[in-house]
Amino acid sequence: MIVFEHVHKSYPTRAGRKVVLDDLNLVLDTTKNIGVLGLNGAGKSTLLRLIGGAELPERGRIQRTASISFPLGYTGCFAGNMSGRENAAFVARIYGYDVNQVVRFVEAFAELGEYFDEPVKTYSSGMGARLGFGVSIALEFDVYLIDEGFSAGDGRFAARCQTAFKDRLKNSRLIIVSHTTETLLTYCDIGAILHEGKLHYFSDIKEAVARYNDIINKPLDFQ
Amino acid sequence: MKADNRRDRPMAQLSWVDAMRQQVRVIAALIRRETRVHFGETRLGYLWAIIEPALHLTVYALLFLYILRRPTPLGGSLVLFMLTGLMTYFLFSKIAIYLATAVDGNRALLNLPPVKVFDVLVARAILEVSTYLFVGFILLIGLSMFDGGAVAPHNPIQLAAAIASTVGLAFGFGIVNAVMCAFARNWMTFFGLLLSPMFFLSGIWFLPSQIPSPFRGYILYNPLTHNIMWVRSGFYRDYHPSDLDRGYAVWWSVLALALGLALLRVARRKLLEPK
Repeated sequence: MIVFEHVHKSYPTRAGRKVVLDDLNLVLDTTKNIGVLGLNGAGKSTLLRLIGGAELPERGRIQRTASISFPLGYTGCFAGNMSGRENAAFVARIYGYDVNQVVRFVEAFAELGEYFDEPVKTYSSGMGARLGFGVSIALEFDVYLIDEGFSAGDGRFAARCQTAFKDRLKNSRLIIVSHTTETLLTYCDIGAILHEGKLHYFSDIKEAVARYNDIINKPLDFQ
Repeated sequence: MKADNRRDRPMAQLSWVDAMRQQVRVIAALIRRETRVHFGETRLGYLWAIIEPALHLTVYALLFLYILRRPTPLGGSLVLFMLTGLMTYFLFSKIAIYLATAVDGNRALLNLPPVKVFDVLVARAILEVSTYLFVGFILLIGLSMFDGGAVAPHNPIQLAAAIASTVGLAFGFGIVNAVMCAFARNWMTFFGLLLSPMFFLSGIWFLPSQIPSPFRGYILYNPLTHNIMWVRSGFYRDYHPSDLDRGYAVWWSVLALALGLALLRVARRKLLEPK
């Protein structure tokens, strides 16, 4: 369960503070896969950061009874002058996993070859993404957070990601935020729309997608 | 792959023992990483931490010995006298400055929820303390080989207490710096303005008892002056300065720590906000 109690969150922009969540009260059932839709700039990434605990609400509180991942494939925590191996070991240590097991898994999964022992700053963006996905999938969480993208790299690696992830979904669930509906319809059971400071909840993802399409297709108001 | 106890104990319901264990684990991992990132690929990065104070020491020793031709105010070795003052000053200033960038420099790591702002600060402080204690030790060894005189501290317990007081003061100011940097971009310019006169007004190069009043009184308001006297009272057998107020030094450390932790608590949302 993820329980929101009177959660308020805004972030500063040049035109003043933009409200992402205004007094949200909601219980998210983490035995289901959840898809959150929202237009660009609605605050989807901020919502994920709140759910994960990387950011704190201004008012109210969020309670979790499940272990929650960092955003899938997150590469920001890698140090450029450390190798892929060292970075994987670091994340394993932070989360209290067996370092050798995680490193072996990532080495096999990311297929970086000799680059696994080279500094991450020498990686191409595709190689960095592979390392990121390898590390994410090596760790086991009750709920995985996914910000838009689902897979990385070339077609072959994307297929590996999908397979590995299907395996994880036997025990774990997803929270995906996206501005497009395709992935959500494939993976999610329940849905929500983040729009103008409100999170609207739907017990069926199809219903959420239908309502979201209404929002997108609404003619633009030029006045 | 599975972490110990992960399934049985969801993150939100950690007992305080497990929470402590997690925090220690995170801090240990951060120290390992920080060592690699801060001191770079080569060992030269770490060597520089020794070279910098050694260079200061050499320049000032030459100045005092050969140009000013001043005798040492204490003991038999002018270099040892300077070393005890300079290393205490470095211990303070390096921690207070290094912690200022701890939050900004580790912003990407704070996206991993087990990593807390406090952990990042503690990791940097531990790394910096151990570095400068090691540097001080190396310089003392070097001095004893070069000078031949006795360099072992006369009263190690007093020395340890003095170092603890200095570290507390530095950690407190470091946390204050880290928080203030989130609110005011130019904070460290201001802090630098505060710190630079300390290099001359903390009794690194002289003893407060050599200063005529009323100036001596002014210098004794500076907590660093007391910490440096305290360190020296741990080194020298016959040094029992009447103007050393250990309680005053400890009070400053406690107050700085309390202020830092209170600011950290108040500003915790702001610190986690992406820039």
